[in-house]
Amino acid sequence: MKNMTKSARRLLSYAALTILTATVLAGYVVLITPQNANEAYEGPLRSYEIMDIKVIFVGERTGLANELLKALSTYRQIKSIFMMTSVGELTSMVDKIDHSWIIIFDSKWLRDKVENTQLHRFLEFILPRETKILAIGNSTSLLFEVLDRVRDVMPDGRNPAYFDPPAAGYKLRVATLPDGRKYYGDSIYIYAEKRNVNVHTLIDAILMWI
Amino acid sequence: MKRPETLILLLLLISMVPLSLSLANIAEASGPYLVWVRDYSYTPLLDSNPHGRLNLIVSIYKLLNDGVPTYDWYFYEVRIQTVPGRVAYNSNWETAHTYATHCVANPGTNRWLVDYDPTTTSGVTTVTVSLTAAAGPQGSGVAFSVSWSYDIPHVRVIDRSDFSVHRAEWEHDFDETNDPFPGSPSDSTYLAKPGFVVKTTQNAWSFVDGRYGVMWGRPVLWWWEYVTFRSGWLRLDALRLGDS
Repeated sequence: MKNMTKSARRLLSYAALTILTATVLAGYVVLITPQNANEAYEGPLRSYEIMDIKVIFVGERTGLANELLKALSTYRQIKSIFMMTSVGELTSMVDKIDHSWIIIFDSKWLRDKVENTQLHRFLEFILPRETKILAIGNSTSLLFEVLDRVRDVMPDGRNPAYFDPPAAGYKLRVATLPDGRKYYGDSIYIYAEKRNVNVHTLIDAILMWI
Repeated sequence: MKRPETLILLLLLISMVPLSLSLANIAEASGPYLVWVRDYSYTPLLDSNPHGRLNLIVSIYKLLNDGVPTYDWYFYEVRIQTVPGRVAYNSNWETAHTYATHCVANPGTNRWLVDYDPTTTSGVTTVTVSLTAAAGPQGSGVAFSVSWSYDIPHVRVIDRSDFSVHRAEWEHDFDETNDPFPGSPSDSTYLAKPGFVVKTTQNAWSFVDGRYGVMWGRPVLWWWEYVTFRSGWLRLDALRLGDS
């Protein structure tokens, strides 16, 4: 070391500093990245296709709704999320809504809307376009009470979400008869497990259902 | 001279009968067929960390073009998927039993359980589910059947159905303590696909209440520990008006 020139020593110290910085940075990446990756969850990389889904959330952003919206915003399949609080706002969007939209109702919001004719007319327009509707929260059976005013989805006293599961959904699906004629069938989604509501499991299930 | 001509004409006419009959058959759209009416997706129906998950999808089809103006037939395909803790939660919990009960609600006057499959199995690795538009206790049946199969290696099906109370019920008993590991039905995802048929009076709803359960188990030293979860009663109703 004694025989080294001043410039060589300087070069060596620069090299040592660079190696030290690189080691610290590598350690940071290894230790910190898993936590960051968890926060920036990109959605499952499994079998369903990537599509541009637009979400409308109607109601108050609290509890499960808040958790769900936070998680949804990190999924790459979700193109945009619109927040609304009134039937008027919903009906103003009616021309834009098609099969690539999901309308999520906070079930509390539905409490005084079961007999709302403006909401009924809105649903009459959007359901044949295969738009998906979902209710979340503690009173999800109300979704089918509203739907029953629009279509013959259930006989009296036979609500499929009568036990108010954490999430309940409905969509019309086009199917084809052997002679080529088209018709609609119903598809009903229920997230039944009340003890363990995992928003990522719920979102994965919804993405599989739609 | 007139007689041979008449005979030739008669023979010509007779030879055309099979042709006209076959054309008539084509025009009749080849008999009864099933159309999809409704799906119920319960995903998950039961979910417990670290034990596992039970998913359920019920697809309901109606028989059309059946030629019977007084009755309808609804075919139920039940898909019960068990995802044990070994797959869902990276734990050591395996599937030991699944339970599926279906009761026709308000039976006997407007709706009847008329067929179901599979029945109890013994020593087989595949089961074929074959369903028919049977007559049941009232009215006529239709010559129509549909079938599918599913694998049951290291699984035994126990049939607990009862026509007298309009109940289709199965237990799938997994051989969790003896089957090979890994890759047998108890320690991996497993799909059971039983089915049943509800006959209704024309344009009446098919009302079915379903209830499902699962028992998960795990090895603890030289014994096994078990937990059981059951769902509430689910409404699995369907209606499609008209017969064509």
